[in-house]
Amino acid sequence: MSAPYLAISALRVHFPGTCGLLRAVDGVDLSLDRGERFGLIGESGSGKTMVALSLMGLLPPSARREGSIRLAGRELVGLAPREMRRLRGRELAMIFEQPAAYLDPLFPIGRQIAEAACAHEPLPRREVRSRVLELLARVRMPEPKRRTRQYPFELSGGMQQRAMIAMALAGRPGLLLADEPTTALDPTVQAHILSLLDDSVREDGTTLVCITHDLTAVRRLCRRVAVMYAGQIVETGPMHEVLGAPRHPYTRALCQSLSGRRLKPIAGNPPSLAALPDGCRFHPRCPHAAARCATVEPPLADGLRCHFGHAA
Amino acid sequence: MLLELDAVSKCFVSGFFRRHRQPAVDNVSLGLDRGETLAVIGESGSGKSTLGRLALGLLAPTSGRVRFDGLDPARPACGGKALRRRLQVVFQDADGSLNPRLTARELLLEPLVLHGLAPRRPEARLEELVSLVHLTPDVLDRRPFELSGGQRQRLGLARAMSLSPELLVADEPTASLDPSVQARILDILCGLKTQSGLACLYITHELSSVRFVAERVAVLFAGRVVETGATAEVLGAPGHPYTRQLVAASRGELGESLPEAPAGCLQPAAGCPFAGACREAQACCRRELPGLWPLSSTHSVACHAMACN
Amino acid sequence: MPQSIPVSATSPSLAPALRAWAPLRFAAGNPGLVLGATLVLALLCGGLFAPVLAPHDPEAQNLALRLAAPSPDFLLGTDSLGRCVASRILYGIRPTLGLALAVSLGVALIGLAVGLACTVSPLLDGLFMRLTDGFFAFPSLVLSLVIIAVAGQSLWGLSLALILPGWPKYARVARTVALSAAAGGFVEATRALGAGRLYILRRCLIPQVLPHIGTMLTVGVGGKIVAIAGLGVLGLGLPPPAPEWGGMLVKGLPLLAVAPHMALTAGAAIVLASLAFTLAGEGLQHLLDPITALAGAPAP
Repeated sequence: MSAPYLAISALRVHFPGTCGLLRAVDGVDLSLDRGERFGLIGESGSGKTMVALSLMGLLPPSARREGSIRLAGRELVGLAPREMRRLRGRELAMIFEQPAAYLDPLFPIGRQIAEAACAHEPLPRREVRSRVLELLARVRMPEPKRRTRQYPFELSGGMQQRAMIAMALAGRPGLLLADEPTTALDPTVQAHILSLLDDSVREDGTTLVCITHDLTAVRRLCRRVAVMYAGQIVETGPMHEVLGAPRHPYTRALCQSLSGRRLKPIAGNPPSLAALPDGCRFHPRCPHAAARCATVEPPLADGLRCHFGHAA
Repeated sequence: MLLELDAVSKCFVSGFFRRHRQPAVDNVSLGLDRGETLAVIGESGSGKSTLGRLALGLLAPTSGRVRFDGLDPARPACGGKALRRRLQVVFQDADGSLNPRLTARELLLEPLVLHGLAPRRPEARLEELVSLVHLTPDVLDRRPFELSGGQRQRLGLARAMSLSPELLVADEPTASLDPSVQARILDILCGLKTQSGLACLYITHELSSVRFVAERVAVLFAGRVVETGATAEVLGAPGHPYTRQLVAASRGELGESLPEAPAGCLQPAAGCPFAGACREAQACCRRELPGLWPLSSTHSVACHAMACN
Repeated sequence: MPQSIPVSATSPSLAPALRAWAPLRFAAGNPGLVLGATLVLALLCGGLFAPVLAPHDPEAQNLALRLAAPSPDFLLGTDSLGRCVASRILYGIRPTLGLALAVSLGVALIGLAVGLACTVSPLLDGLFMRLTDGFFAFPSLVLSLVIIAVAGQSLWGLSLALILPGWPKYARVARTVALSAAAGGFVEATRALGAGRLYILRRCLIPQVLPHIGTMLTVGVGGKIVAIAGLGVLGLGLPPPAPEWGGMLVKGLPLLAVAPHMALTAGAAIVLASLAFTLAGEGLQHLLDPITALAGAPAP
């Protein structure tokens, strides 16, 4: 078997803070083949965005990153900033939750997409224009010619996200990271953006990592998923198995909290990253916790980080 | 009827010669009984938040009538502060609806002080309020930015409940929160409803939470009610094409792959506001505005296609 | 979705031993503020205790000792009438600083009131903002000169000449902050609780505006000191023989070659005083800036 396209091993992202070390990501292992569509599920504070940012090399300056990230055979941890910059856009690209905050309000979107398209390969003027129109057509922007001259504030949220996706696709990246691509959008627009992402990734054979807490989006987009809790992966496997028959108590609670007949909120609050509980990190909130859970940290075995994997 | 909206419209006027007229809510009639919850569903620009502010009396309607227990909440002269006390609101957290300079204790006491209801030794009352929303008293000395999103939202809820209101307007109380936290907030809200017989106007943009909270729903599009009825009926067998699209989207399906609805409430000069995005639109849809047509005794739809069948 | 990592995570961790030295740490983090505040304090003390500190009567002339160089008896030498320069500088603190503080306070209060009034109605807002536009159309020095020409060269005329061109700037800032706060969620939330206009003004708007006005005021005092000295140089300051830095500077200038200490000490006093307030003001601004303040707050 050949080496995977993306291999993350023992990734740790720590922040030295006044009240102790914040362990935002604590030992994450992942491996993805080319063209795979992967979902990273987690709630705020679970470290899912930090995984994406450490892939992009865009972590805050105070963060400490350890472990190894190999993308297409190349080690990204410890890569020179100049080299990393070259990879961004061409090899990996990212879509953010709030397109309005990541588009430059002072330039028409046509110009911003052109900039992204020319960042790595200078194109002749005429071709730039046709490339921009082609990209806008790909993201199914209504009236693409008129939109190129419009500024971000003139576009609706859905159209802004389309422009953002067009920018991300401009460099024909091998790996596309989508951080909550639909959370800030209206529900009917969400469906459109999801199908758009689905199609464009399929066409190019792009590897997609979708980072979200929205299970609907994951069901629509991903074949394989991992669930993160307090900086660790607690369950991973094929999407239908993990979301259809969740084995970890946290995954089960997450799936049921808003979808059953009755509301089933998870008791307690997520732990502080500076003061993580001993043993299993979910045990203070877990309905099945036993004495062993409070002392021994379960390993990730057979895609599950729980002492009672077989029983549940 | 506890709350009654009768043909209420709100039009925002701006510009140098007051030329720009932006209709936000257009001819909406709704009613809410004591102890009942009505969900107002709409996407951004549908006028749902404006509707909430009209119900609260924070905005005065351009035309039509808002009555809370027979009184007009927009006119402080009739009913005054006492009316305000019976009518409370929880905002979406993102708005920063808690004064960042005050501690949780001060924030919880503020409504009591404003209405002259603060007990001499407030500690017991504060603890009672905090436990009402499943928080612990140690949050009392923190400021809003030291709390998590879910804790902040629960604090907002406790603040509104401190005056024991009869009607609570919940304006997207769970937007921008994690799903497990959303479930928590909704659970608390449902608990408060059964405990104190609270009536609730629940404003939201997503459907998944509605069936837990509301007995009745009203779907808003471009400032108009396009469908209204009992929750099970509307979500189970949606009549309006727009509601069908919303329901499909909430299941992660693309539905009938309708074109994206226009941004904001750009209303056409005549006809159904949804006609531009509707597959079933016929000539009459572009000509004439559909009125609410009863499908059953509790379910009505504003759609020509439904009225014809 | 930003992760809930507290902002304070970015500040370097310090050994517990250092925590005991919190004031020292504060000083190390805000050198400008500490230096400025110390200088301001020194100036205030100097002005307050001038009669005790001054070695001589500032108005006592000693024509035999005209333009004497600094000596143990006259620390900063004497002026063209044989008066002790050090004493005159010390006594000069009072009118300069007093006037600068009073004027700045007046300016800030007027600006605050106007800015808050702008939130009451759009009509009032439009009216006041056109008025500030009118004031901004003229350079402040020209405006001051005209006012002194009309009102006469007195304490009141001088105050008026400094206040009238100054308030629009404060009003603009107060208005902007108050309007953006008034549009914010928590003001509406407080209104929904049943709070009246005055309560919102007192509890929500003024606490938002005050830090901005406060830092502007502290920086502004430095500017006013220079303005007062400037009017003194033009001969429009406080009437002689009162010791006044601007006047002392202009008297010393022609004698720069003969007795440099006269102009230099007066100039140094003006620069130092304005620098003190500017430093303190900027330090304060840095400290009260909401983002910086948040970053310094303890983690949840």
